[in-house]
Amino acid sequence: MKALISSFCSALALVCLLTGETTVATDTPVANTSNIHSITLPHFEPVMPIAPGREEFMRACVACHSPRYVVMQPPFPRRQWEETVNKMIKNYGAPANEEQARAIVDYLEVVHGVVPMAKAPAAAYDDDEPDAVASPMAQQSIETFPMLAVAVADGEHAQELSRGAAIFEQNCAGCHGAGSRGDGVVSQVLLRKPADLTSARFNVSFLSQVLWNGVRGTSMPSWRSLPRGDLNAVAAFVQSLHPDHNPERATPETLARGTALFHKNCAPCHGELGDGKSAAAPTMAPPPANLKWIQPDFDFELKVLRDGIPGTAMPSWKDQISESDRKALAAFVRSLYESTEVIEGH
Amino acid sequence: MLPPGLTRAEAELVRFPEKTKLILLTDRPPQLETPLHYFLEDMTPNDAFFVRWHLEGIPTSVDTNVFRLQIAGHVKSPLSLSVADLRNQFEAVSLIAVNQCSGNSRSFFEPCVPGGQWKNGAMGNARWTGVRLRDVLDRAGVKAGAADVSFAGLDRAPLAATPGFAKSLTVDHARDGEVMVAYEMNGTDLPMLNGFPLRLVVPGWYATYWVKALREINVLPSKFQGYWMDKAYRIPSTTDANEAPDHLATETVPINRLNLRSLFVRPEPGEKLSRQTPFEIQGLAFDSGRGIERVEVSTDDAATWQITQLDPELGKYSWRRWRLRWQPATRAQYRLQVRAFNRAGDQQPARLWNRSGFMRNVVEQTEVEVL
Repeated sequence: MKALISSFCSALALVCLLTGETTVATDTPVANTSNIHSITLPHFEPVMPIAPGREEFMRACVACHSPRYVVMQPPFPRRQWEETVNKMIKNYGAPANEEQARAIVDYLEVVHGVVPMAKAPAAAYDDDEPDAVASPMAQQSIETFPMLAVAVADGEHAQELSRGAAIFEQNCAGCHGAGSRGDGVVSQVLLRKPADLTSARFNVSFLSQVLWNGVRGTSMPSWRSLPRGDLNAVAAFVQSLHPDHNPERATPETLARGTALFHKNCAPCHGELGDGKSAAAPTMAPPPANLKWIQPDFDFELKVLRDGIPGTAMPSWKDQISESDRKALAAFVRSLYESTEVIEGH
Repeated sequence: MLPPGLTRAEAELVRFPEKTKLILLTDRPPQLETPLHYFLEDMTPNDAFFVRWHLEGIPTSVDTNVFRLQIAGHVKSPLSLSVADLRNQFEAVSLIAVNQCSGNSRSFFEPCVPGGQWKNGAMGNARWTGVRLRDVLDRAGVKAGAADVSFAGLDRAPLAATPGFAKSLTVDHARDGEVMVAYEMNGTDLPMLNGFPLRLVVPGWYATYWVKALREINVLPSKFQGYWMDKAYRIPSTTDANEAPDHLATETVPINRLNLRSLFVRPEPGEKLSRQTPFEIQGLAFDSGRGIERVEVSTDDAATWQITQLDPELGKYSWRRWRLRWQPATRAQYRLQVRAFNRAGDQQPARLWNRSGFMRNVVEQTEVEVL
């Protein structure tokens, strides 16, 4: 029930947020009925070949536009790619330093230069995720999901956990690894690496959403064909992977600093509330993380801020934000988490 | 060899919300091209109308009960108007106008230039219905000394460092009685991807000025300054906006009025015709509102030119259809060419190149095989 109330509140918050974005100040009272016209965008993002510079390209460019902006073009000589990359950095604020810009130009020259692919081995084409690009149908269905009932009563729990572990072993370990660290055998060939399930806490809303819908733009499929009871057990198992060790308490100063940094750098994708709902989010695959639903460990979050997440729009911030500021940001991000555990058993 | 999926712009048809299958240029943000055969109709259907957005944060949801168009800046009384206010409180006007992307036909530039690799389908003709921008500005009361009016939509830049999309017109242009805030396209709401709920209509000017999902009109006492006017969408100030790759023009100006052009709709590229049956060559011609006077077609590689039959005018900003019956005598490969003349005495150039791939309007050629 609390979970339901919680998601209802988030929905309300979202409506308020959207309202704030799509309206402008007015003296007349806001109508208490809504007349919403909306669409859901499909994705047709090409999978880009593996070659040196690919990660720099994915980080600096794909946050703001599909790689199709490259493959639509005729092959260009290096000089033209230099000009284009320079323009994207100078005029549009693409987040890349000189070294990264050079790596991106190297990459573009190899994958879409005038002597295309001459420097890359023919077999380098990365076809690991032919179905990773979500279809419009998958997009439509991603809006809703049933909330899983994750057992917490003690006697029931142990049994559920061992059942969940068995289901995980059978269905998930191939990608996420036997130790759930995202290092299963399949992970080697995946462009977007499976999540390390030991590096963050995931609330029930998150697990319900992801198990039901999969994650668009990644290899994580929908598991809704499994019996609901099995999904409950897997969710319980995944939650058990992360012992609830008490987080460090950040000072108000640190959190204030983190808040400011978040609004300046992160909100455009992750949303003002950190819930992954931003103007850009519907167009991104994979979507930006909902930080109310995921609480990364402090060290893991620092790593993400430093290195970005390969194959996603999450860039490296190491050249934009100092290490001490990244720590403040990580503390703030961790403070956003909202547990949605069902507590009726207690 | 390029790996599959990386070859240049093989036409791939995709369906976006409220749209029929269109040619995919890019998916995020979307650029979708109208297939040529839709231009057999005088009015381009809303679901087939081309799509072009600049910034990733495009509007996907609008609540018309809370949406307000804001008119602010150098005015006596700022306004905040709902779509219903526009419909109920202002005189409705309607006009047919061509909406053409600055970069339409860019893929035909030689040497090729970066940007959306459009063929001829980044354009469409529609009946736009809405209110005169002049009426809206007059309601707000433009103060003396106003210079420019700027326009911004609901789309948002993905990064703080990315300049938000905004365009401007001079206050005289904005008040010319023709520039319109449209709430309908071909008699129905605009599709979300074409600018729901409101779109600026600037007849005779390139589509870059037709700001989609219009939410803010700002009257300025001085010249507007912004990336999308000062740095982007600039053309050489030379005749026909022409320049050479090794000798770029030093002066540029913001792109503005549509130039004169004519295109083939039938035959389509690569179409095979039979000698047995007469064929109707068909196409379109338009300019910035001066009026199409004559369209000529050559079927013998520009040795001779025949005057085509023009359909009635649908309005000075609409395109005008031309037709020519043709029954070739011999089996051969023919090169067809078309050129238009307008009432202002403009002619189409034989050659045009500029660095941005804008305003292509050369005398069109198409190859056709007669069997």
